[in-house]
Amino acid sequence: MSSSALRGRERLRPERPAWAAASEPLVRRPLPLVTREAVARPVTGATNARLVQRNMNWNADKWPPAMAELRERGAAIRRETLRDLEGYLRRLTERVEEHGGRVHRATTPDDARRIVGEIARDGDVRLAIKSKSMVSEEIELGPYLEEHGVEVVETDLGEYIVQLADERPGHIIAPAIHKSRADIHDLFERLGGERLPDAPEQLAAFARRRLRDDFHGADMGISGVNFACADTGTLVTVTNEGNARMVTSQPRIHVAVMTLEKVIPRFTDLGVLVPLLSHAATRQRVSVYQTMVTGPRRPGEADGPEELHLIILDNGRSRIPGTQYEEVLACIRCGACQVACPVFRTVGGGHAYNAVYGGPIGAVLTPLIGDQEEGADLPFLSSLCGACYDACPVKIPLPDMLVDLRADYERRHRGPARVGWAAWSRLWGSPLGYRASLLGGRLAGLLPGGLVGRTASLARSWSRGRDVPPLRAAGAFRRWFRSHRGEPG
Amino acid sequence: MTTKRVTPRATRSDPRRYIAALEQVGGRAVALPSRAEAVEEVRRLCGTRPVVVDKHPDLDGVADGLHVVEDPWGAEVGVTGAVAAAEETGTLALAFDADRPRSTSLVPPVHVALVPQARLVPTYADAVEALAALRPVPSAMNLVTGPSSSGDIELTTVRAVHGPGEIHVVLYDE
Ligand code: SF4
Repeated sequence: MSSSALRGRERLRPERPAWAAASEPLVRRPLPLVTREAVARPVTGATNARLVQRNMNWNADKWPPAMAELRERGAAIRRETLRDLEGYLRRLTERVEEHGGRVHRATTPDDARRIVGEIARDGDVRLAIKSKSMVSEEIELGPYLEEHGVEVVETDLGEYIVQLADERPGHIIAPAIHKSRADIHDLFERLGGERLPDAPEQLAAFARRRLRDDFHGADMGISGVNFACADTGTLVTVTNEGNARMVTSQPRIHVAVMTLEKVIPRFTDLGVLVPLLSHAATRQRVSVYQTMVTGPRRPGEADGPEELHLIILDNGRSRIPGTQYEEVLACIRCGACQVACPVFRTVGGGHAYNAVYGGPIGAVLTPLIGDQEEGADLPFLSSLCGACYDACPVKIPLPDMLVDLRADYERRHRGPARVGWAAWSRLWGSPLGYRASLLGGRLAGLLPGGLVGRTASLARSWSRGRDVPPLRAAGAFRRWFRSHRGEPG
Repeated sequence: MTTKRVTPRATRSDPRRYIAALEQVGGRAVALPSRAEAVEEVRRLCGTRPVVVDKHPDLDGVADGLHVVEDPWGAEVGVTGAVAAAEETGTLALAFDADRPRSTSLVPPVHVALVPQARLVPTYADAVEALAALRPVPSAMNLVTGPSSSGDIELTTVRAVHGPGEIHVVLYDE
């Protein structure tokens, strides 16, 4: 059968802007140019406003005492596996196979794509339904399967919107963050060739109606994995819509795709990790569904997949444990650092990063995985304000890593900015130096406007494509914060 | 790290906490003094609509008089029991097997669960523990907290996206 959810898609094609295109641009351009364009886009302001609002709402009660305790426990649990990732993966593999699942290890995205392609071919798959999975973005699975004659339908509401628009997701857990309600309304009306009310409930209902036949009729379900329990072989997805439940229970083949750091020691760790993830990602006490799959359907069961395949992708991650970046593997993909990041918000979400993962986590992870050249400059897309660390539910020291990655970059690419960055990172590397720079900034602010951007030729080449902010305000937030700390909001 | 075992508790469970927690996320729950009244309530919720009902000792007799159908895709209500229910969050812990298909609580637009109060546990972590205690590990389990929802359109919450848009939990004292 062919997808009914995508029927009418040909009516949508031509409108998508290049910056949001489903695949990343081949040619990476200098960051200052990319960000300048991103900031100038009309949609950026609206996306920024949504993110700013969410960030303000959330800052009020970031880590209430009970949550702060879960955060400590979660941070510890997520580091437990790092010392012996292979050992945990071996146990996971044994358990999954014991329950009748098949485990495939993939070194590169290309391996992973090929494995899924073979499963689809052997299973005579025509229609595949997908729930949200960043790894499937990383391996560009959808386009690959489409090339091989499998129709792929994204079933998460945000991913469905982004797929119809032929774009990339703009945020880890809110893929359509850059789309307004009017955009979505327009997209759905053109797709369906019918008039629709524009209330969010009605738009969601349209997607529900559209996707239901595909849930019922698809041959293959492709899901991500939020947590893979080494002690039981249970694969867990955490969602709100219920599409992952459909994807993992209705089609006759289920393919779960994970990267190797998703393994957790114990099933019972979910009691800590799920509320923590839910709080950080959406400020829910718990997300609506935690779907737990342990092998395929068993004899006598009326539903569930006949085949379960688990793909475990490395893509360079096994290089990371033992380095100063190993804690990045503790990430639970909540997206909180993205919401918290002033740079991410200002450039209107993830597209400007030209990478699968945007925001602080993307700026750290991208240069560490894959071929390591891709996105090596992303660590510079940060103000190093530290908000990402404050927001992170598993306490990954993202700002420190951003600084170290900049140093790595400078060692490899000697350019005009090298001296400046090195001096700056030395300066900001100590609290005293940091405070001195703020003072210096305030003094510089007393100089006639624009002079700073015009001083030395080095600073001039750096400031091209950037707006030098009013330096008189430097450190204003921190001063305000210090004076307000402890007062009820 | 160890977590405490859950099962029988000295103090009586508090269905009011459960009801409040579930209502906070958009579900509905009631606590009734007897099983007979609870079964009556389940029947009232189903009405004459086509329903699928799990085959489970907790649900004995519930299907009588209902418009029971075989195919969940043709049903408007799915009736299940639960392994545990967490007072703190309103969560239902579900396990699936030959008698309890994955689809009952998923495919029909309305989910009704009949749960004895003895299954109430204080916290979400306790509900996880209750599932962890099952042997053999079931092929599929789910923790469900409220109706299906999404924040994908301008970050506003909408209900009833792919899973049931309505969830009713009927608690009873044995
Ligand atoms: S780095 Fe931390 S805040 Fe960012 S997505 Fe990962 S877990 Fe969430």
